[in-house]
Amino acid sequence: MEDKEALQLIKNMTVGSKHSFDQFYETYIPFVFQIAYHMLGDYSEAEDVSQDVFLEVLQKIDQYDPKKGSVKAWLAVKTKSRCLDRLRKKRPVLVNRLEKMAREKEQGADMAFLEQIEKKIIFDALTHLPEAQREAIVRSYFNGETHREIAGAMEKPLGSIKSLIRYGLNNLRKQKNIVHWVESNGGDGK
Amino acid sequence: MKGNNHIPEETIIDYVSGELEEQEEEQIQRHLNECERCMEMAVHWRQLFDYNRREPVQPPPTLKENMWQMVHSKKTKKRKEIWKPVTAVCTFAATIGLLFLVFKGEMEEKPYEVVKNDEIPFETFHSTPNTKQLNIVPAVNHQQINGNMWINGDTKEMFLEVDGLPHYPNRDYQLWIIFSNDDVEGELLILQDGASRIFFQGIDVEKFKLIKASVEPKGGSTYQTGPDTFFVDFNH
Repeated sequence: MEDKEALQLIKNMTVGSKHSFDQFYETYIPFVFQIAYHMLGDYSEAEDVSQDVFLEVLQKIDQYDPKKGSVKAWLAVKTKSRCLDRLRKKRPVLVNRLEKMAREKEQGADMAFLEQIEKKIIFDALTHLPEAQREAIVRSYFNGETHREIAGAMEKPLGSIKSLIRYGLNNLRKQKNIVHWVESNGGDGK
Repeated sequence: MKGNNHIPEETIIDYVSGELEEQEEEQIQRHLNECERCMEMAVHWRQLFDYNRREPVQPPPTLKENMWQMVHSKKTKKRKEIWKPVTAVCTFAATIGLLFLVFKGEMEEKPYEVVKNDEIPFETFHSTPNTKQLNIVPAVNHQQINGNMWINGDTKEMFLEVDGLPHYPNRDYQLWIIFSNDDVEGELLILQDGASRIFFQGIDVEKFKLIKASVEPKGGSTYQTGPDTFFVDFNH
């Protein structure tokens, strides 16, 4: 679909054209939904983000700058931005994402790009955990070490590592929904 | 690194998707070979799109109907808003025009760069050494507001993130930066679902005295006219 046509559809939608809505939806929503789903790893969160993006586009059509790129690219950037906001503000979503990332890694999926995009947000969240819990989580989720390797490196029994990770994730879930920053370490999780 | 030396993310996405003309594609390729940050972004999007192709997911069938209901209700709301007095609309438009001219003149002379919300590069200076975090203090009537500010005197960067700002249809929020010599700079805060993010590069954070935000007429003011909503005091 040409960008001019897409922009016309958006304008028509704002005055209630169901036909334009159908066309726009069929063209772009699968694309938006896929980005949201793969970034958040959660079906219902991806639905919410897709709706947010869609509404934002309707309300802020004037912000679209054709010099920067296509309507599709504009939607992609908005989707990514909304996903990162959600991960930053909703701890349970972030923790579920972290756990899903670990499962997918075990299945051999290449998640490097998601790790790169989401790593900083996760590290910010980890800064408030006790050091041992943080270290166990970073080693497990980002360094790809097995629980046995972590136990050796941290000089702790294997059972303690499993507990540290479990407690750490539970603590992460309970955190408030604003990203805090620890001035002393700049949020690098060290 | 100056933000405007980078390729817009949208252009990178179009490049990765093979949507660009050959000449532009070559230009982008040359830039990517020299720019680590843009190259990294291109790699991320390429991998994400590959992943989408390998692991396709379909939105649930209920999504379409839910969205249409939302679009429909927005449209109805919008129609109600249209019937405002014509004089108010004209005055409002004239004010915007005037302010735009004032701001345009000012913005061209500003010694720093500003990016807002979606335009902010994901990798900011948070993990740079000597970055300090400061809390945003809400004004009395805006207790639901919360957020943080990060500043770095070495890199001359400042990032502010604030959440919970009530939406006023005919008003904008404006950030006021007051320096130790009492110079004042004003920047509009663009709201997205009650939140706003703004990132400054090349600003003298060492000389900040007070930062605050106020509610101003649409398009902003040349000086503060509305009530404070939050502030960050550098004297404490």
